[in-house]
Amino acid sequence: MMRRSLLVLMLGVSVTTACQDTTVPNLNDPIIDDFVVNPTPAQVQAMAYGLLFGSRADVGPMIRDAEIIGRDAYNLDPADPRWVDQLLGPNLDDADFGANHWLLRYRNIKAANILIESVETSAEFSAEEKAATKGFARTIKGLDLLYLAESRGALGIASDAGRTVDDLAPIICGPAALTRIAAVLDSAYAELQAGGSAFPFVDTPIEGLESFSTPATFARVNRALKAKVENYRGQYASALTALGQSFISTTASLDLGAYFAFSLGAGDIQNPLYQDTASTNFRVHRSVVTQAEAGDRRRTEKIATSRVRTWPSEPNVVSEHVFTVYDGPTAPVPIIQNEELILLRAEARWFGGDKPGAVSDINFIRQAAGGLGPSTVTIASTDAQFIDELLRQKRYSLLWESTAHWVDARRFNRLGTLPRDGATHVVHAAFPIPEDEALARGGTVTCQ
Amino acid sequence: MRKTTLCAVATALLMLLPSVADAQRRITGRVTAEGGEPLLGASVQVVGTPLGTHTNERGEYALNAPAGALSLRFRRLGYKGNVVAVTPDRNEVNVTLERDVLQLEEQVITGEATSVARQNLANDVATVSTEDLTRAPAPTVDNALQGKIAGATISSNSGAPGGGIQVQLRGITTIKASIDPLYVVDGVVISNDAISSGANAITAAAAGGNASSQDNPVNRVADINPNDIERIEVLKGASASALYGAKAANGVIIITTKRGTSGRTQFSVLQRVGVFDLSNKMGSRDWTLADALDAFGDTSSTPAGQARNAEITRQFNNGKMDIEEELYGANDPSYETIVSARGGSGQTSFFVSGLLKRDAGILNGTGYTKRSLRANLTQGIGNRITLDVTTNLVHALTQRALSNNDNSGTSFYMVLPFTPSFADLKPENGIYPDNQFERSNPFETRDKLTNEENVYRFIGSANMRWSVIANERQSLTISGIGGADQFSQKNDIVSPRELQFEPQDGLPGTIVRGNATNVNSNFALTAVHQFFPSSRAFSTTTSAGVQQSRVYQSAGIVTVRDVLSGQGNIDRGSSADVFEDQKLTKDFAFFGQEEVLALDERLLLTVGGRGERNSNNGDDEKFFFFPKASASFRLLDLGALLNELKLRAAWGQSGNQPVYGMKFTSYLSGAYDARNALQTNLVAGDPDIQPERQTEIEGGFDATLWGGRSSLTVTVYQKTIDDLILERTAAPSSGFQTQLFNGGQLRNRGVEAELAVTPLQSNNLTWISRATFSRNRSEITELPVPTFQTGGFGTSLGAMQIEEGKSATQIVGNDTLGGELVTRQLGDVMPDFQMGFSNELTVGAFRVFGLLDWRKGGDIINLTELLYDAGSNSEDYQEGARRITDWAVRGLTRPFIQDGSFVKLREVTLSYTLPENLVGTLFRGQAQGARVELSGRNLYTWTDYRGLDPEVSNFGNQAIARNIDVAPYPPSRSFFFSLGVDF
Repeated sequence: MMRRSLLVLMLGVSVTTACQDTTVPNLNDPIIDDFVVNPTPAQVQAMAYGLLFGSRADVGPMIRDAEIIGRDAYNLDPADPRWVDQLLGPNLDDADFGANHWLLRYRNIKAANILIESVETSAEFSAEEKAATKGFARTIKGLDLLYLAESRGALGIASDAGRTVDDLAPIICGPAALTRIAAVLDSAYAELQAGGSAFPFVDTPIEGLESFSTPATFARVNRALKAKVENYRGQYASALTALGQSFISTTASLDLGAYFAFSLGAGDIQNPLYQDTASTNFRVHRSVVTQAEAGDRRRTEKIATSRVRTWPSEPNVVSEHVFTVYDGPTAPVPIIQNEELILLRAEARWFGGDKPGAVSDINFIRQAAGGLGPSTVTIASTDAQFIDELLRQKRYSLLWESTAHWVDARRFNRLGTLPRDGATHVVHAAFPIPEDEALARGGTVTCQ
Repeated sequence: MRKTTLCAVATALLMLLPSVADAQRRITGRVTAEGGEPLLGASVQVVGTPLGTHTNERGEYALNAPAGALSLRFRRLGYKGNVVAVTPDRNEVNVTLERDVLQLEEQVITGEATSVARQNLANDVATVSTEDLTRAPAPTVDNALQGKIAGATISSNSGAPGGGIQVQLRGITTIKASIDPLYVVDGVVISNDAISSGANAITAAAAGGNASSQDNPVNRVADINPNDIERIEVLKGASASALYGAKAANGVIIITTKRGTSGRTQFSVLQRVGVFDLSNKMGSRDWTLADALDAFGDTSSTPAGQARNAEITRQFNNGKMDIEEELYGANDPSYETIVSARGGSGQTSFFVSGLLKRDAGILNGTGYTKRSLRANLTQGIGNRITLDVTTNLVHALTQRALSNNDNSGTSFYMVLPFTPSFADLKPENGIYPDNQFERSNPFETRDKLTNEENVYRFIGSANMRWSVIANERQSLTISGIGGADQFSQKNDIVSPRELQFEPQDGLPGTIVRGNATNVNSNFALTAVHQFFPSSRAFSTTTSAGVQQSRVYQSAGIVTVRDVLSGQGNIDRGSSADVFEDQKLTKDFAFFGQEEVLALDERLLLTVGGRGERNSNNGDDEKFFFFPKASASFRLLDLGALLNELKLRAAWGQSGNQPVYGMKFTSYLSGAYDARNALQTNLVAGDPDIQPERQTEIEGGFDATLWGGRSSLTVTVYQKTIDDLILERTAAPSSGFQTQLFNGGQLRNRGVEAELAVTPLQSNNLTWISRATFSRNRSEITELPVPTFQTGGFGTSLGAMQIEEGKSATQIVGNDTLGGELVTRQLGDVMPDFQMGFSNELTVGAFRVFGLLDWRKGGDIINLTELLYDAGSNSEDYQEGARRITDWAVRGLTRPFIQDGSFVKLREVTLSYTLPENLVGTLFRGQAQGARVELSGRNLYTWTDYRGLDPEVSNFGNQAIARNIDVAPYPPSRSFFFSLGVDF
């Protein structure tokens, strides 16, 4: 009896054991495949805000690295000598720094492509809502491509994110890349104009984009970015047109603009360019202080003096100055703001034939910087003199907020004029194409 | 349908129930050792049948046996077996067994429910006894195995108290899948996960795109109390471990805990008291004032610059100190109390033990406390059913402060390279001065920051064995074993706001709270049938069964910042960061094995296999089959010197299942403006992912020499791993960093040898000497994707690179070749060979034991030295300046890729057994025996390596990327005095 009941028990146990269901879902995260066809409004919102999250991911590190190479800043982090030895020294490793300035951008471009395609299949959105969403996503994609072009310069960029791991977009050279970005921004602009009165995923204005949270107003941000690209391309007439469609204003605050927001909330990130002034590794290059004009309020507002930080193996790498550009870990980082637009217009006007307008824009910025007197640059000055003045104003106006000081020095062939602290130091012209990209494309990459 | 069929097949075997016959006569007798003392627990078996019994505490046995002439085999662990021919009319058989100091005749577990006599074993299975484990106290059980197993590379990740140790068996078995051997304790597959503490919130080590796992976590096998262990069997590769299927590619470590024995209850108490002591330092530069002003001062003549220079001069004139010694020089007492009771009567026997242990760290405020309680109960039910229940409760508290890489200037050995010896750091009136040279004052961090890990764990199993049939022709045993391993791990890091570094992020004060839950459960039903034909020409053992397991883990970390002094909970903080990672794996398997023992027990043939499906696979319905086959043959009586030679060969396959989640390509959740914000995962999953498949072939011989006083075992093996789970680097312009897939092939070839000799053996004097040797070479034999790096901080700092035709563990870096800077191999993590030497000399009541562990080769990326060099603070700072210039200016990685060869004096124990009359006097006749011991662990290291310890891994347990040295917790040696009394 006992044996029989034991046997029945064992048989039962082994059958239930053998036949249990072993299907296990992803307990942690949503799966991308669930988002590509007929996404719900909540899914579209998560993807759209995800584009801002994704584009923000590298903005701090990119500005930091560009400002270091541009000799506005140091990151004197003793834990990682590469911040000095590689960014300032001769060997910029293609597997280390700069790899993220590539990867994180293409990750976001891919996410934008997924949203652009998936929103098209939405059953709940109108044609206007679809256009608005696509215009938003494509503008962010243009912004990401622009950051890529800035970090890679003449080396070129991949024209788009690969559709799959093996289906890669071609590497196009600097000029072609800028043409491509202008085209992407134009497509986005057209979509935004067809996008009706509201973004379907925006319920209250987006933090950092408070003035630009409808398709019509966001289109002004799109045009501001376009103007920057056109300046890079030397298409100054087109730049001036775009500026006219942007939010440029000599009556509004110079800070008016589009920003990436940060917060202390769960799942969010803090401003990576902010560090407490007492302990920060982020230091101001001494040349920023010594080359400032007397009375320039930007010098006193953006820079403070702290404890001296040295770099034992490099005696000239030393700074007692720290940035006070951001007042806390949730301070926003600009995407593009009015002050930069006026300086972009100065450049476009100078080279577009309106030299008086250019000088007036420069002097406008000088006046705003603590009432600096009119510039020594006049309509009679040489191009070189104008560029000197333009780059100086951009350096102090956009300090620790932009890649401009380095990118402009490269655009105007002035990398050689940037100060070098060590005999072996060089000014890198661009971050290398990442080693992984080269390996995946057969070893070396030459742009087309 | 497919599943149903298999269910039926798997269980049908259980239905084969032949009839039961009765034995016909009764043989009794007594088994004693050479000195005449009775041997408890010796097995007595009628040769060629399954009939057998065990002796009681008086050494007596009684056995029902068939009529006619027969042979009885007597066996006991630690003694040489004996076979006695018994005539039909003889009903009393008394025997005396000789000591088997080399343990050549043990039974070795080889499958879920089967074991084989070592003399027939076709694989080289290492066994470690309780005595081997506990000669010198060890922080954890894996520590205690170091240097004792040929073919095992057992390395500490740091010197921190409480573990963090990697066990690698026979080389590299995977690149991306699970790297740990399967730990089976009394039939329960236990977790050996290493769950990070969340210290990264303070150290920011993983910021900047580098991989995580730099929190110096403890792998949880550390929780097992080594004193509870009866024996450990180590199955080193697929040919031995195929029956464990897709969990067994890294080998299987089978731990059997102590059981009760019938008879008088034996109480044992062992008290140990000792101390840990810093055993190596980096050293630092002897600064002059001029040099200090040059390096740290301000060349400008501004008032701020002059104040700076005055401050440096003041600190310099206040004097220097050995900061390492001051920080890590604590010698607080450590102790360990071990009590156990073992006994039984009638059908019940028990083993109960308790452990209370405290290892005080060499850094004040760090340490390791373990409390363990075990109760093992064996109960006979009638004469055919045995129930075996084991329970183990553990609490472990680990306090480890901060170590390893950081990006925040907080981890101690990240701060020291930049802090000159004259820095003013010591508190005055409770006020800690700010470190003027780095972002934190390590003395302040040591005294105010707490980093504690509390683990509460329960491991329990129940095993019911039912002897359905037991007669002279056959036996059938059905056993059901079920068990669970449940633990919760709570991590608490409190970093008060007044710490120097805390305001860095603008949110002073940080609390990190980690909560992890893990539940492993498994169940197996096995039938073992033994058949002995009447000719007794051979015997067969058939086993089959089904097995099911489930592993669930949730690990969550909450970080809050900007917290008030005195706040201990995570209720408030102006910033909260919440993280959780879950995993759930279910699998089901069936297995079977057939063994044939023939030619007078000289030939053993085995075939078997396991089929398994697993929820981590892309297709969770698909069964993967892992077969095995082996043969061994004994040649006897080969002469006076060579007594016995066994030739053996084994072949088998096992798997390494994908890690949970590898089949998914997902979004990662974040928040932007308080709304859900999705980012695509940088890792592309593979919906078709399947287990890696290891094929191992091993062969060798075991020789018994010199009348059993010496043995030699030599094994060669080849392990080939196909369908590797690889995470190939994707072109980053695809938006993915890596993509998972199966492909490629990895090969290990190696040789292992063990020589044991008993040069002296008499009643009063025994000398046992053992040596182990192993050498393994790995090669990536096939790589369907371009060369990629897996581990390290980028090429310039040395990285592990997977490359076809190269060693799996090669280290590459930047180097000049023909004047041009190129990436090339500069080293290899894998050692050239390893040897262990142990000697045990027993002279009367004295016993001396020593163990040397020699590792030749194996390179280390010494970034700790690079940090000292970058800080111009190396002891040899002039050499350091050359190294850093070679690296920074010439771009050479070579200066920091260093040879990690070492010889360590792992264990030394001097033990004295107190004479009986003294024991009688001391314990008033209550004690049976007592001994005192002096023991030490890791007493001395001979090495040319310039880091703190050649056993190091910044990234914890790693398949490939071990041996990266970044600011580890420094190593220590320990000394213990012990008193053990048996009642």
